[in-house]
Parts: sequence; C-alpha cells; structure tokens
Amino acid sequence: MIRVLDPGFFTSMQDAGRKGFRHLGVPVSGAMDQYAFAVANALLPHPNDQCVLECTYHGPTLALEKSVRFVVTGAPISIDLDGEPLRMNTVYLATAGSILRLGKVKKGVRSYLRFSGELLGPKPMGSASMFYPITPHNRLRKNDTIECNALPQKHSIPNARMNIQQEYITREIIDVNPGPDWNELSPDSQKQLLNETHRVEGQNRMGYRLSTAVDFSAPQLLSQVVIPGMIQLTPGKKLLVATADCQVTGGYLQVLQISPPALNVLVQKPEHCTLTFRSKQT
Amino acid sequence: MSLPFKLLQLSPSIYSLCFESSFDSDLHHYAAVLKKSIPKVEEVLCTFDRVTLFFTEDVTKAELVGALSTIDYQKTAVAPCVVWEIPLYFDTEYKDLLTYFQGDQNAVIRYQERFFSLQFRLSFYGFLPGFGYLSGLPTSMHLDRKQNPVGIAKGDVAIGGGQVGVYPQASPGGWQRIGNCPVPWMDLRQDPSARIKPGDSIRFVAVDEADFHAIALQVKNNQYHFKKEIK
Repeated sequence: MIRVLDPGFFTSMQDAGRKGFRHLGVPVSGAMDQYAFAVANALLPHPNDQCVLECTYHGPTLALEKSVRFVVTGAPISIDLDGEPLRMNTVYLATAGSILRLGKVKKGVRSYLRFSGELLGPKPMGSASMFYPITPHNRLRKNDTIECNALPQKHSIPNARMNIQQEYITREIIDVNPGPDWNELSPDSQKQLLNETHRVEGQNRMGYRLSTAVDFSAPQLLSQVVIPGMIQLTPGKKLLVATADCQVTGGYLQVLQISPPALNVLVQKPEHCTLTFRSKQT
Repeated sequence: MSLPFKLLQLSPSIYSLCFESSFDSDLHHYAAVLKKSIPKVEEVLCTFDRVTLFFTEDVTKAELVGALSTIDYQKTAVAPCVVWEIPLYFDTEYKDLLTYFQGDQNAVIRYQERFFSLQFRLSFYGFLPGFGYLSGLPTSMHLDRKQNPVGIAKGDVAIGGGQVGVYPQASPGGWQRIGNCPVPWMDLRQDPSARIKPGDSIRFVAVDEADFHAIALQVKNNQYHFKKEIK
C-alpha cells in the first residue's frame, strides 16, 4: 500500500484515459505529457496497468508500505528516497517502509511517477484517471491510500538504456497546423497569430490560456467537437489550448491545432513563460 | 454516389462529416448506422451539424470515403419515438431574460409561453459530463451569449444562440439562463448512464416553486418517476 503523506501541489492518478464516453460529455483524460507517460511505461511495463502519478510543480511525499520499484520521468524534479537523492528516468527499488519524496520541478511543469505494479482501485468507465465528477476527486489528498499490487522483485526490468529526450521540456517553439476554422481569420490575423509571442496566462489539466493580440469577433458558432491540441480563439482575445481534460465540445473558433508531439512541449510550459508557433503548412 | 457532407480531418484517426444544414434531426440514426457499419470505429459523436468518427487507428481519407459510400444516408432516417416531459421552473430570480429584453416584462412572458409550447430534441451531450444540447429553438427565439461568463447552477437551462443547454453541475458559462430543471438527465453511476438519449424529444412542463422543491425532494429520495410517451 502507498500512503499519501503530502499530496504536493496537484498530483493525480492517470492511465491511458477513458475512451468511448465522449458521447456522454466525458473527456478522455490521461497523462498530459504523453511522451513522459510512454517513457515511464517503457521503463516499468506491466501487462494490464499503465497508471502513473502525474505531479505538477511540486511532487508528493509517499509512505511505501511494501517493497516496490519505481521511476520518475518528465519534468526534472528532486527525488529523495529515505534521504538519498536519486536520478530521473532511472528505475530504483524501494524497500518496505521507505519514504519517497518528490520536491520541486527544476524546469517544466509535470513529472510522472510510476510503480512496478498495478495500482488497484475503482476504474469508473474503464479508467483510473482522476476527473471530477467521474471520480470523487480530481487529485490525491493527504492520507489517501493506493493499493499497489507490486510485481515480484525478480520480475525482469528491461535495460533502461533508452535514448530519453529532455530537450523538449524547455523548447519555446510549438509546431502547429491550421485548425478547422483557420480560414475564418483574415490573412493579417493569420500572420499575426503565427508571428507574435504568446504568454502562458494560466493552465490546468483542461487547457492552457495564452495571450494574443488578434482581435476577431466570431459569428455565433455552433458547438463542435474539441480534441486535445485544438487552439481556440475566444471573443475576449485569448487563445485556449485544449488539453487532456478538455471539454469534448465547445463553441469557440478553432483556429490552429497542435500536433501530439508538440502538445508534450506545451504542457511543460509554466505560467508566465512565452512561446511562439511554427507552422509548416500555412 | 456523392456524399451529402464535407469531410473534415481533425487528426489521422478523427474525422468530422460536416452537413450543410444545422439541427439535422436525422444525424443520430445515421451516426448509429455508421458506428455499426464502419470498421475500426471506436466512437461516434453527433453535434448539431456534424458527425465525428473516432477510429481506433489511423485511417486514410480514401478508405473512409470508400466505407461511407456503401451506406445510403437517406435510408438511415427514422422518426423519433420517445417524448419526455421535463419539469422546468422558469426563471424569476436570475432575470437574465428581463435584462436581455431591457426590462420588458411582457417580452419575457411571451418568450416563456412560446418556450413551453415547443418540442425540443436532445441533439448530443458535450461540454461537461451530462450537459445536454437541445435543438428546436426557432430563429426568432435565439439569444446572444453574454459578453462575460457568470456562475451557472446545477440544473440550469440556458440558451446560447440557437442552442439550448442543460447544466448537470455548476459551471461558469456565458449562456442566458431561463430556468432550472430539478431532474437529472443522466446518472453517471449507472450503465448505460444516459436516461434521456440523443435523438429523444423533450417537452418542458412549467412547475411553480412549490412543485420544483417537491420534485427535487423526490429526486433526492429516488422517488421521482420520469414521464415519457412512446410514439
């Protein structure tokens, strides 16, 4: 069993998400940074569990009651096992009764902690990904416990000699493609959107709010499907980028789209940092 | 055969079929047929004027056009059969409509009377888990969205342009609130979750404040009986 002594800033359980329930208005959820999620699962694979703890800015402190292997991927963060500092992207074995502490991220936003076992617990609509009101809470809270069906220690771990990318975490250029409503914008507005520098004004698992100077009052649009990566222009001169917990439909102008690899770059951008878009197709 | 829609690719595995006319009442039946007949479809989502197909893997446009050409859109149309009677306590407190009509009380009453005479259709769920989008609001009753979102309560029925929405939980929103519905459209703990299904018809029935609270109590105690007609 894993006990949450301190949940950190915002830590949630995330797996591959709940697909197939968008028709009820239920978002897919899952890890924001799909690359770090994939790395965590490649380093500690399990046949029927992909669940990770997604940490934001400041990680949790956990009491590990059983011996378990673990790895931390994504944004570089300080890791401490019973007082011993550890490295990112490296599989370690914690003995029963250890305290695992994840501190502050050194750069980026989101780090991923994966254990060598199945995290047991309710999976409403086929997924353990935390999303209120499908799960009772949207994040771990102090004293929460997670049952972990740890794999036996002799379970073979693939050689961790992967070529793991970290450069993307600080990249400031985001690759975009035209979205469904790109042509509603004037050529001047299009040019402005691609040339200006955008500032991250706010972010959470639903989306990123970015600044823009593009002023465009859209007609009253009908709500359409929104998928993660869609960049929407609001009447209040903001860009809203849909991410993992985004609403499944929305009525804003869908001007650009971020490709899945570039979305991993965006979700590691903290508040107040700046970025620019790069488009090969427009 | 020419297809009655434009194809919009959202990703290598997600395509929207965009129809010319919005509020097309036959899209659900077509969508249900597509879900059954097109290979590798994980999910089909209807919006007012689009049907979006989510595939389990990447699909080329040519493959999709080939598969779609085998299904005759016209033949999938089926008349609606379930009409739900849904209680609605019309707004007296929010005064969104009174503000919208610049204090003209008679305009609010006329709007209210017309609203209760209409029959709507649940087009789809979206936005929030269990947020129902209804079609059937005549153009003359469309209401512009607010400039700035306000707090919207659980059960509120609101209008954004030509769309009518029912809020399953409290949320910020920029739509004009016209009242509150005390009964849940969906129970996420149940399988299937949606009691009222996309394609079903809805008639709102006016309830006063006393009835509203009585119904809310019945819902809380699991004693509320939904009224529906099968046609």
